[in-house]
Amino acid sequence: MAVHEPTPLERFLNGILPENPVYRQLLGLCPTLAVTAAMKPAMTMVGATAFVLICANLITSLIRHLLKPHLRILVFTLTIATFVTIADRTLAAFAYPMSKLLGPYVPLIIVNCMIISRCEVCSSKQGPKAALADAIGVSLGFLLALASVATVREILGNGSWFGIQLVPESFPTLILMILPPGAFLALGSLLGLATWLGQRRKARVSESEAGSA
Amino acid sequence: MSRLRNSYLGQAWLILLLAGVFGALLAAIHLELSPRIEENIRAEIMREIPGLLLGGEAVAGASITIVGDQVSIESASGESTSLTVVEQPSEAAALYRVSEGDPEGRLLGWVARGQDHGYADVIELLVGLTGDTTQITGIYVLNQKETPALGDGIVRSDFRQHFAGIATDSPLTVGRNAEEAAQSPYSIQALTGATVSSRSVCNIVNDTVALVKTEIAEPLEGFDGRP
Repeated sequence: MAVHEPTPLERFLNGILPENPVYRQLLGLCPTLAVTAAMKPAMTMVGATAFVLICANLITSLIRHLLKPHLRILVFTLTIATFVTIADRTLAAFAYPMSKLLGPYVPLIIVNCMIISRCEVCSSKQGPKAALADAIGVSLGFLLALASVATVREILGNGSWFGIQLVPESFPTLILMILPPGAFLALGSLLGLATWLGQRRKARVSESEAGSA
Repeated sequence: MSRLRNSYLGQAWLILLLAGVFGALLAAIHLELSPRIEENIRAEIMREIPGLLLGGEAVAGASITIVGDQVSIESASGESTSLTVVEQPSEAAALYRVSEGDPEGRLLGWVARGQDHGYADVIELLVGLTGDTTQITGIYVLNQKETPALGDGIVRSDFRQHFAGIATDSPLTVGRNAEEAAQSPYSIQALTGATVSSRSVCNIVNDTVALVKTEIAEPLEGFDGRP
């Protein structure tokens, strides 16, 4: 029996919400917790991760017929590490203060399970179109996750968004939110909200299916 | 044919090919970007030199302007100071002679760049020394990739300030806690959970100070160590 492989459009859409890397798969949590104290570093991390994901997915997809099953992880890691190094050096050359701010988190993209999982699940099995659509969809999902956590943290902890002051400086802020515990509090709350919304939607769908039956 | 396919080369040819292609790509990227990265690092060094030699309080809130080898500092109260930074030939990664005003001005101190392996990767430091190299004026972490929330505490000012004012007549040691550190004026209290990173910083400082002292006593050709 032929196995149904998702189309490029399905891959793209799945990556954003149904298979969101952070909220649904709990992958890429290290950068989600570490660089979301403000929007600027969070968006830089999303950009670097998206670049690596798109390049790694495309390369893996193009060489998928040459991969040997027992050596595939080595090929994925080699490919990912190359593009992470390029992203790291590019940031150091053109956005030096941001590169210093992100510190070891850019090189740590190499061990981000989100990227290696896309190579394993999609690009090593499907063509470049599906791999590209998957990488863009997952990158948008990652963007959504990091932006939501960073928005909550920066507004509550600093009263600003993207460095723009939203509330008067005299307004009390929750410093805790831009400290490490704030990352866990924000992610936990948003994860709970996402799960609750997902379950509510699922329950509505089953109810309507039962009604029509 | 099946013998060739099962050989190491037959199994690993793709990895070897990719390693060659990616290696060449990274070499090209490095050649293209490294001058710009070095320029960024030099600008950062120039910005940090006043704080290292004059003290963090003296430059807090000050505006720092860099033009060539000149660093101008205008404090919040409106006082302005000018420093001249001249790179010296050295076996250290870099050594800077810093004088007040023009290059003939009073020697303010030395700033040396040193590096060694930390816990995770290479740690690069700037070490500030008085003009007679008898005292450390401060340290600054230029580059590190230590464990987040543990070893990366070496960049914090509360850790770095332990080094300011220590005499250079004896190598620094690391005390695992406040009690151990208090036993010697040359002992630095390690960061909790990051003894290796703390020890690496001390070793880099010791090696850099020793090298600078040797070079000032026996200058290399082109070295300008005049008082």
